[in-house]
Amino acid sequence: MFGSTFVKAFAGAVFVLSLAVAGALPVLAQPALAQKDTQRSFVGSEACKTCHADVWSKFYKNPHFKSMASGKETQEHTGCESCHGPGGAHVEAHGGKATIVAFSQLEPKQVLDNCLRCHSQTLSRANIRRSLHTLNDVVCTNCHSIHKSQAPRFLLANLQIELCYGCHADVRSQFSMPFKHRVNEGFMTCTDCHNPHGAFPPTWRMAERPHMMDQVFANEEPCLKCHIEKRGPFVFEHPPVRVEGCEACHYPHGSANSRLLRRPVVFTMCLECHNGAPGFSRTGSGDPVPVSFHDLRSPRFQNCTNCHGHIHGSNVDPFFLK
Amino acid sequence: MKAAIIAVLSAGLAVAQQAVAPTPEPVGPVRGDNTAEYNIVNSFETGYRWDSIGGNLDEYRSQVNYGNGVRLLGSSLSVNSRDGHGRLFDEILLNTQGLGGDPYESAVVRIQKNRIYRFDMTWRLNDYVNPGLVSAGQESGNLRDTRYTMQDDDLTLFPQSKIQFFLGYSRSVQDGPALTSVGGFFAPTLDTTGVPTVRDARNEYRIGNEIQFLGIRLNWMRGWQDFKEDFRVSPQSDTGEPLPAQLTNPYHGTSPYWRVALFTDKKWFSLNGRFTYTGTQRAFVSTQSGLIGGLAPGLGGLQVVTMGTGQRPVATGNLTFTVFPTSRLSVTNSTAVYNVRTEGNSEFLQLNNATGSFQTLYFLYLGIRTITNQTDLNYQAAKWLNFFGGYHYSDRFIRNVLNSPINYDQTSILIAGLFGVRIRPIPTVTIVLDGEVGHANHPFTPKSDGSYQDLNARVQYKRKSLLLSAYVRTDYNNNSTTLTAYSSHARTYAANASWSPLRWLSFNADYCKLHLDSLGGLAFFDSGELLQNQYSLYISNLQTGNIGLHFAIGRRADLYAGYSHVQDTGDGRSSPTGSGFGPDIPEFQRAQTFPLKFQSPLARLSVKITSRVRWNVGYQYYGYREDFFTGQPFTTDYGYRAQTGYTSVLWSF
Repeated sequence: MFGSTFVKAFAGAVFVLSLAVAGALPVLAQPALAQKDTQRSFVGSEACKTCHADVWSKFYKNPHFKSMASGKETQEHTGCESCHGPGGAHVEAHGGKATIVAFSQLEPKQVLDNCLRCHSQTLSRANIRRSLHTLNDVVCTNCHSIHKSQAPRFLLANLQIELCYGCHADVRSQFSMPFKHRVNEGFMTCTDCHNPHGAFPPTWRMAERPHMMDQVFANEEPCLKCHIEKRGPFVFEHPPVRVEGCEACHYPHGSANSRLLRRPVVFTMCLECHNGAPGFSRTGSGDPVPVSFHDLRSPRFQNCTNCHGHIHGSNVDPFFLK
Repeated sequence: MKAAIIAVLSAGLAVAQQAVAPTPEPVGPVRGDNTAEYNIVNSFETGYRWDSIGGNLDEYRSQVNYGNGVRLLGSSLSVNSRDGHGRLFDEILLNTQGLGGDPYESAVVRIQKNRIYRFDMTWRLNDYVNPGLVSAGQESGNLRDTRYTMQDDDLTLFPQSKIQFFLGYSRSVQDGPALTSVGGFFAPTLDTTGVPTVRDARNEYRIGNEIQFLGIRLNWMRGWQDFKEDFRVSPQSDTGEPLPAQLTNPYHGTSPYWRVALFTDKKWFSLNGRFTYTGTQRAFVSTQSGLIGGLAPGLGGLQVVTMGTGQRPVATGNLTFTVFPTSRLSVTNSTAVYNVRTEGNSEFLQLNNATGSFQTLYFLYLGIRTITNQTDLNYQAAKWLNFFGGYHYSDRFIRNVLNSPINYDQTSILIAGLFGVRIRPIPTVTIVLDGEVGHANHPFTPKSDGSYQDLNARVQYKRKSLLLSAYVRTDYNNNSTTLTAYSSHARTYAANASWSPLRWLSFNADYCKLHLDSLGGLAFFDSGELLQNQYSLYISNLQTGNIGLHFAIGRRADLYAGYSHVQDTGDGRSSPTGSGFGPDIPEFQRAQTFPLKFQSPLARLSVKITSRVRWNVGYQYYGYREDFFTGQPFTTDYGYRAQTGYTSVLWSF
């Protein structure tokens, strides 16, 4: 079972990659932006501060200043010219965006290539080239401002939630709900659960969605970083928790329903699965219908978790009663 | 010039603020103060926060929870060496929020010396309350009134070198009274009171290294995570008398893990691989004594002990390869393997004080193995035109052993394709259209993705300080079988506008409508009669809007006004019963929709007294109302009206 699936999956992968690599060979020698620039002359950062005094005056606070402070880097890896390219032509022309690498003039892919010359060397950015942000032309300078950062860390162009909400207005609305994770209140950030630089494919559910989820404890769903008491293992697991993940019953961002549930009344949510429909559940014979004494007209049976309190898993009771 | 910089910063920081405090306006010289070899920028905001609650206090505490008292609402400190050669450090950053009693407190610290070390610490506290809310005018036993503290410490040695070392320590503790879905007993037949105090503690230790050779980075991490949960409850009678009964439940375990990754990024390809293994083991003992009938032998009291061990080893592997055959094309192939098995035994011992004892041993096994392969292409046909697409394949195998020799195995294969186009007709406008269609042949639950399709459209206009965007998304899922139906339609419409036309004026507004209708098959007992082939149709029409306006009044004052509104209009009915789709039972009809309203206007005035001192005052109102659960058969009114505010001094020295 395992072997045949694995072979099928890899066969497709190898075929696609072979085509791609074959197509790549003729263009490997294509000159990159930085290579072209090295043919010009470096002038050093001292020359830049003559005109760009406002940038220079506070650059010592910039993380990129490390390369200058060390004094050991080569010209193309230090100071202004490490990102903006050789400044000789720019100085001779007395400025101008056409004579230097001006990020405002670059295509998104060029911005990404320029930054990744140094910043690809971090595990958290190992998937940046295949991330949904990159595919949608959201690259480094969309969120980071090298010279006008307004956040204490990571040179963010604005507060993190404002950056994310700027495009994800629907997510902002979810965090405005009565019940939500406390992102707007400053207790959490988007990056507690997401990796905006692209994540490894999730390993829960069918691995198809959601995208850009970070993983905690090496390979777990990020919810478990805080809600660790629900991690288990439990002798009696509620299988959807393990198979489908927390999103099977909860909205992770925010909800109009208490406990971020997908339904306002508990029993309707449970009954949508526990309807005996064949083909589902761990046995394939359907999730069991509540037995006959569960008279759902009675309020006591409308909150399933009143009795089935350990609904995420129990060590003691197969029906999650305790 | 300085005033202009401050005004611009204010405009950027103040839009769309959700909580009225702390004050985002900066104070003091933007460039800070120089002392010897360092530059220092700092600000501290100290003030008094107040609240006045009408209506359901428990609901307010569960949703908002700001209280009265003196607070260090926020603080910011940065110390930077001016030449990058500080003696012990080159940078210190410290940011705090809400210290001194807010329900959401945090502190973030970074200390680093270039090329030698970098230390990051994040500390957070959340005071969380849930009085057993289940929304629908009912109350449950799942109470919670806990404080959750979490701290992460990470030290990186030689952070800019080709050989780096990582050390980390994390700790989280949750304690407080709770009857909750994990970590507490609930015995509905007991006519007693006594809420256990839960204490969950996690300690995690990490050590790792990253090394670069031949242009490849090898990163490994070894971690140990210990978890323990201990609590005991001694029930009391309604009059507060201790009962001859006791519940205890220690639950301890450890999760050692490995993570090894290799990655490289070259001009024409990018490659990464990762392997992880986590071995988790938990041992538990659960004891109950004297809960039924007392401890006296003649009364038949029971003493119950359940104990055992659970294991859950998880192994994952990832291999991702991206090639860039031309500057316009990228092809990515990613393979992921996930393997988990949960197994354990639970030994049940029950001593009847009058008659004797018996023993039952349960053993359960749940194994999941998923293999996924995804291929994505991104092609830039022209400067203004991009195409992207992908093919995803997942194969999931699940094995169950339910305390019997019979194995229940099942396999599900998901195949999905996605396609999108990105158009930039003019530099200021971006249009993205994409869609995904997928089918799983054996979904695990009736609500899982079966045959689904997602369609997205996004338009964005950005010119200087003006940003306009609109977004539409539809998610349709159909998972019907021969005997039951499940169909879910979700549609999202969102629009956003932000504008900072002048240095003293900024504006932000957004609107979102979330429509959801889900049809599900039901079977249940109604007064002893099994009703089958029933349906529920849950309909939600949630509309949210946020608006924020900030403007500076001269050079002295900043005013911010904002409003947030959430409203679910439900399915349009005006009465909780008597309409809707599905069983003609009032309890069902009422559960098919959930109209409510939540609104929160706020305003804040910040006045500059001197260049280093600002005085601030703010007000925020929270109003919450559930339309159908007030005065109905379930008479708990969860609505509340909360007036909150603060006044503070923001200063820099």
